[in-house]
Amino acid sequence: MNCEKAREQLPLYVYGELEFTPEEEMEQHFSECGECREALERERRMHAALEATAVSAPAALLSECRRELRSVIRAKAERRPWWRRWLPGEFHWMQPAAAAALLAVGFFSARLAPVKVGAETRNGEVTASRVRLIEPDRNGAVRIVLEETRQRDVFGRPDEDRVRRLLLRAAQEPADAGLRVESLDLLKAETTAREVREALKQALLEDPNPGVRMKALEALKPYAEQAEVRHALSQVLLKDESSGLRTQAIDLLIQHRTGDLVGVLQELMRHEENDYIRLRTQRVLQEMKASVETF
Amino acid sequence: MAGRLGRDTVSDETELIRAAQKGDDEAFEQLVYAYDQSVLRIAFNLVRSREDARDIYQEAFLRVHKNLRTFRFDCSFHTWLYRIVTNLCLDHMRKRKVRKEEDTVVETEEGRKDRLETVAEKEAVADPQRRLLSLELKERMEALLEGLTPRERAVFQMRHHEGLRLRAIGEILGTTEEAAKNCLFRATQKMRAGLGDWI
Repeated sequence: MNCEKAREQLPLYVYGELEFTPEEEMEQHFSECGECREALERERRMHAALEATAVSAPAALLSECRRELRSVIRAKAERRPWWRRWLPGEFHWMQPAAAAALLAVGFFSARLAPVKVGAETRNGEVTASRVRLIEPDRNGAVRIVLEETRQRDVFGRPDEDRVRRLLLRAAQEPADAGLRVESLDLLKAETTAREVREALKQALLEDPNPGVRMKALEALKPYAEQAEVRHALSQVLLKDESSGLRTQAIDLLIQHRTGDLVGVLQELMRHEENDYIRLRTQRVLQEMKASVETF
Repeated sequence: MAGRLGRDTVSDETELIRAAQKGDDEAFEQLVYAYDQSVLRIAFNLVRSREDARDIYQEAFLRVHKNLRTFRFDCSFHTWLYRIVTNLCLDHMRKRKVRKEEDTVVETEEGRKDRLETVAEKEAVADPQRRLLSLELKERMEALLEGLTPRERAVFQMRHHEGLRLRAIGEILGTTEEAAKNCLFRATQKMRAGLGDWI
């Protein structure tokens, strides 16, 4: 390896893009050549300076983007004919025939089958009902037990107890991730209440939907110094499958470089696959004068 | 804990994609949430405008939504997604470059000069450490980034700030690893030359 070749390869060396052998040759050359060592230091200084050019998108922008995207997609879906919404993507070619078939089935079943599940309007209030029991009696009459679900509007501010309790319930509604996101978004302003912080931590660690977990993480940001929240963030960093969430978690954790962070980051280096997170972890460990790997 | 890192992640993602291809909106939303932070970060860093980054985010995911049924797993989902995003950013930067060609030339007391030159002439701070962190340096680097071609800028952004390997970048840009490497060489050369004795 000569100086000319070493200078040429310098950017790739610093970016860790060289194969094993050329990288070894470069290191051998640096140990022998003071000028190239100086050039290497200069390249590294440039890299450090270039860090300052990275800008992060404002957190609020991400929420705005998600909201807009969701509403545009929803609006598009609503503009589609109903039979297209029903049919799975792979069967779209047979949509017209399927729609006709479904119409025919609907027509005949309405004529032949008794209605068991339905919705009716009583005193202007929509009620969904389901037949739970049918009991014929000796006189030819029948007793029918209906299970009814009624909608009721509750108005109030999120800081009111009853509203907050309902929001906390909605934050755990298993069937609707959108509802969980909306409720966590509203609860974000109520994090002074311990029960809200607990619900957020639970959502961050256990919710199956990454969007909901992200919303919980955003809400917990002001508490990133607290031991319990740091523990939850460490769990996200080590175990969450979403690289977006892990990126957010590491950014928050490294703002306060406590001793226990080193162990978490070293553990992370053993299995993290995302290049960006690995690079960030490596840098922080170096800055904290800790070894990059555990031995 | 909801998710786990490891070999299951890829098959989980494949299942999500297949579900989204069949019209499962929740699966599509999960795909969006898994990648949208990176998408927004790339767009915001490349176009440097809140409004434009938002437009690119939306256009990218709408294209994914529209064309997901034609995705045949010939490449990884994130390569396909990043290709859509970088193409949108490159188009945007090319258009803006044409618009801004005039704006980079500014009137000074000594006549018309390129903005890059005027930044270079700003007085440096004596202390090298402070100089490194100074606003002027940041401003200068911003100007140098603006001076890169859209493709050089995209490669630099993905390698330096996103930590993607050159092979992956080549695949995203629909070119070879070698071509991505050359782009990175040119970008770092321009940055090094532009920064001169500042570092």
